[in-house]
Amino acid sequence: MTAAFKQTMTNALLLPQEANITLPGAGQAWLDKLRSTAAEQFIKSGLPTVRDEEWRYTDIRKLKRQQFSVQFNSPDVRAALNDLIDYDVTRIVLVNGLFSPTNSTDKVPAGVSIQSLAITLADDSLQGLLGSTLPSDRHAFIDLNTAYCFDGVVIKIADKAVLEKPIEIVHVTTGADNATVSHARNLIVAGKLSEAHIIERSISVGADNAYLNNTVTEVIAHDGAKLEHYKVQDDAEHAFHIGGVFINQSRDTSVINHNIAIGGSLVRNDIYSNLLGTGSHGGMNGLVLGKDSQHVHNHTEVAHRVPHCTSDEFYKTVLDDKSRAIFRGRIIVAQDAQQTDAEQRNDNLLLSSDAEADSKPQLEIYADDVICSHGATIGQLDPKSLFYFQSRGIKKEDARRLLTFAFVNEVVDRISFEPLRDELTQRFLGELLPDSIQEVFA
Amino acid sequence: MTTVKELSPAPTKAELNPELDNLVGREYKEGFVTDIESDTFPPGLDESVVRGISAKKGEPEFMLEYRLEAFRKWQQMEEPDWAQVDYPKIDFQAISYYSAPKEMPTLNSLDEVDPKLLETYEKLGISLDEQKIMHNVAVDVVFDSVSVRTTFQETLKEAGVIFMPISEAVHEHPELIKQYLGSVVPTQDNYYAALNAAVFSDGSFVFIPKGVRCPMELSTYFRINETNTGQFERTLIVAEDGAYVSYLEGCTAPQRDENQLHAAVVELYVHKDAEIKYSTVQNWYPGDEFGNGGIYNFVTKRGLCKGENAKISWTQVETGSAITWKYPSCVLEGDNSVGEFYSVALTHNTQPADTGTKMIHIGKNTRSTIISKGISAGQGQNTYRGLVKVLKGADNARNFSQCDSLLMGDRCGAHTFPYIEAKNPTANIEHEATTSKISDDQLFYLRQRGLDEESAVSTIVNGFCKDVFRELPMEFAVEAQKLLEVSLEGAVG
Repeated sequence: MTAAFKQTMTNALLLPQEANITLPGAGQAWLDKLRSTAAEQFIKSGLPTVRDEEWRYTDIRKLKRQQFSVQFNSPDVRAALNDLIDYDVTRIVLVNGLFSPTNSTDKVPAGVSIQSLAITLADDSLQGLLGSTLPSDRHAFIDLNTAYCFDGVVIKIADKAVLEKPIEIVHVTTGADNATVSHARNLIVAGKLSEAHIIERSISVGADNAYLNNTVTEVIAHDGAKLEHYKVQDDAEHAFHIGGVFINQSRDTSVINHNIAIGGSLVRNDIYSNLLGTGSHGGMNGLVLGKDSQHVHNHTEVAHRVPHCTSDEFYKTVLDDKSRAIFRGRIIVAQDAQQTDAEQRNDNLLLSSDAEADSKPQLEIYADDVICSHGATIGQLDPKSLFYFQSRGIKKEDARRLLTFAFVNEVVDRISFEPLRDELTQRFLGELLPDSIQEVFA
Repeated sequence: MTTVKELSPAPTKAELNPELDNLVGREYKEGFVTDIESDTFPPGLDESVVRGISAKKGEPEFMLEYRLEAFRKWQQMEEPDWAQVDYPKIDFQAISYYSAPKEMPTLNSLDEVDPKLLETYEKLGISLDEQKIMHNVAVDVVFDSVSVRTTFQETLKEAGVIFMPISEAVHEHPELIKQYLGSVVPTQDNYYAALNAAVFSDGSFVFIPKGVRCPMELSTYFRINETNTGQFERTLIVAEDGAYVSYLEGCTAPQRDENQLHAAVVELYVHKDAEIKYSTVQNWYPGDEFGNGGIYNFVTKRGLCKGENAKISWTQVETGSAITWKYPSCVLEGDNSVGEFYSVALTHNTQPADTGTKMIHIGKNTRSTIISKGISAGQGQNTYRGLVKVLKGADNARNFSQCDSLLMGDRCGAHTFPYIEAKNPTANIEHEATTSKISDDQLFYLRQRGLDEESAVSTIVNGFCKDVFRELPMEFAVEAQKLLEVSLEGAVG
């Protein structure tokens, strides 16, 4: 077996067996099987190359040249967390992929249970849940994450619980002597008629070396549940971020995923919304702000498996310098999923002559009584709008920034949790607008 | 031009296909078999077959080299499997790659033709004379096709237009063939194009010299010395500076062919200020309602706008074939050049079609328009697959794409896979796609005004396709409308 690993794999990433890591909960048949199947699949598919259709725009050779090792320390990062905007949340901190009680809030609100994955795996309570949302066309990194299932957080929201405070999961990567990888695995189960906001944030603290954040979050929404899931990816500029969010929705649920990609040098997000119960709504909002030589690939899929569901996808991209963004959005309407209403938009703004935008919207429709549309645009700021500003005495450069901010803000505006919306608005204002104009907004 | 049209009483520019008789049905096919064994290569493909084809045609050395190069590349390539189509694996060694032009049996009257086919002709409005020609029925003096075509040839000659089978052009204009063949679709372009380059049987060659506006719409129908072009057809059209030509391919009459695999290549080469308009109506036999039989249509079509202000316009109406795999493309190299793609694709029964276009913007101020209308009925699967690519130097490139799908029935499918790539910040690209069914309100409105359900549906479908039909030459457009009506029969309800 070891020989087989060596053949198929580069040195970049090792399976737990190769790295001689003892995994929590090992010895339980269901869990061993889950991990070993994933490991086998990982070996079989190997790390993707640009020859794979879904990776043709994303070259990961830069990542493969690294030699990542799993980091097992979980230092105190509370000082750094203080820099985060302080709003009233139930905060869970994962340091290097490990659940860190020291750094996390100790009070857990009523109606919700929050546990480390490592501890939860001691018994079979997650059997049938863990891995249940993963799509069959997943890539090798997701299988690698499953082969570990090492730590992360398991959030279970009780039936009818309506959480006032959002739960915030902060992924922190700390410095190390060499390149590191973390395989955080999270599971969120929302009970019937429950409501919650969940924020996932990734940041780094003194991580000067390259690191790979390979996270998977599974979301299971039971009948009538309402969830807003925010992913604010703010990794270090030299980081690799490969993240998966997989959502299974039962009847009459509404799950909206907001995907804000700011940091990282090579970023790939796989976001899948599986509408399995009638009357459900799946939402996806996305924002990419690319600069320098950032590469951000968002790979989304909304699957209408049953009748009477709606979905709405809205992705915007602003690219400066030599950055590149790829949007792939697939809408599948299964046979008999009648009365589907699915919408998708992807707008790209190119600010620099070295930036590149690639858009791959896809509709795959096997039912007839549907209303489906997608639209994609790539372009620049409207010269008429620029002229309007200039004719009113605003410099062209300032006008460009203002219009760019307005473009970005359309996504931010869809964030319903107000403190987060304000935080992002202020941040983009600061980044995009000149001081003279900021004063007007202040 | 007008005289030309008057001379042709029939609306159809039918390709004189001697294999048409097969459409009639197998039950009496036996009676028509002529002795062709002596001049048909045994199934299989190796270098000797390629050499053999070239030798049979007495081709010059450069053509043989061209074919051999393509064949060697083909051997190293793999059959693509990314399209949204499903078919049993093709055994390329089970196909015969050369058969000499066949004699078509002469019938005494149309009574010998399958009545079902005649009924279709009737619905399509194909004249009796036309029908007779298609079935090689002895034609009366009134409609002497040969003289009509001779007149055409003379007019073309006067204008300086070259229009002849490509196998003749190889001998008569070797310098042009050398210069242009494979210049737009290189031999190694893709699996089917490589195969075509190695074994192509025949096809058309059109050359419009500088400043000439071709005095008539060209169609394979008018080509003299018409022979069976077979399953690997090759078309090459060159428009020199300021030239214009409109070229029609195919016909609305249903066509059957014993060759299941068709892999054609069409190349358009457009110089400065020139324009080529290429219209296709494809109605190959799609197989029976369970998907048995039918033509596999794997076509590579590409045009190069080499000079400034060059323009290429593809219009296609695709209703036939068991498999359609076809992406007419435009490479917009010259500054200010324009590419257009207008398509109606209809799938019925179990037909899958995977079609679309590629617009590659290389020059400055290049513009492209894509209008694709897909109609799926029965268990048909209709896929639009397209690429819009703006390269770094293509300042102010502009693209507008619209892909609409109409679904009829709950077992069909409509899929859209556009690829949009922009490397220039001044590019302006818009893509829109919608999928819907015919709304009950629309149907009710028309029925309430006295239309039966079938006419109501066909009215709506025709409206849906209007943007494409109006790009077709007029008489082609009329036929195309009728063709949709006939094809959709029984799809309603």
